[in-house]
Amino acid sequence: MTDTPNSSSSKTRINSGPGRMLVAVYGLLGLAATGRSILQIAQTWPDQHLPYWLSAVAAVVYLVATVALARASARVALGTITFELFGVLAVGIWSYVDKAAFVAQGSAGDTTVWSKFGQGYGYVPLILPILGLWWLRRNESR
Amino acid sequence: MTGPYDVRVLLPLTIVLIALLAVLAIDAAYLTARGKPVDNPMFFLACAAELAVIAQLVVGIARIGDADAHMSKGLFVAYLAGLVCVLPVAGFWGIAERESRWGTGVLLVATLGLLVMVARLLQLWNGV
Repeated sequence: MTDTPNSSSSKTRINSGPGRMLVAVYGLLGLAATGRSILQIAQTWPDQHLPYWLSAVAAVVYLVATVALARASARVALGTITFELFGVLAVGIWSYVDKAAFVAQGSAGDTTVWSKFGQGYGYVPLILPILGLWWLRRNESR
Repeated sequence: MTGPYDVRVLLPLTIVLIALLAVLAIDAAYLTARGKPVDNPMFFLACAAELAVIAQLVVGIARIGDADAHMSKGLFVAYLAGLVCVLPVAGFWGIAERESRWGTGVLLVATLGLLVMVARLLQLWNGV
């Protein structure tokens, strides 16, 4: 939490400057995905629906990414955000190919954070990992 | 679907809330673009918005029976409760980050997120 401005390097630490906004977006998505998955799983317990567990995976990914970015753990952040990008792409394609797996009974078209490439979240889940990877790359310590 | 109570209390409250959040978002965007930290007017604006969010929580729970019958009440309450947490967290963060413009940047993200959540809340209420 003690952030000393580092003027020694021209590169920005990944948790400072615009990186803070990235942390904020990840935190907000983490909150949304966590709340969503807990409710989805709790309300349909003991029925298991694949999309709900995918929401839970997304929630964990966002929370880990939030903490990694906030603490400037570049390697953890890189791993998590890369996984996030593959996750949103894989689930996005999957949700178009196998629509039946993403329609849960009784909850009007309730799907998951990453289905249809994050359409329900204004495609932020699709753009965010790309933005995140760019940010990490830009501030890579050489 | 919406009784007289809704029109007199819920609708004005929602309009006030959205207006406050919209002004806050514009203010945050302006300050971020100008590279300025959180200032006093913004702090009071954020406080007013938070009060409206809390009012929404109270009124929303009190009038939960008036919502669309298909609405998931758990989800609705979770949204209401989640909304209350966002501004204090972003606010403290923004104030702690006073030496740079990114404190207001964080508030901008938070406020835009809140606007989306309020929109989703209205959809839930109307059974969408």
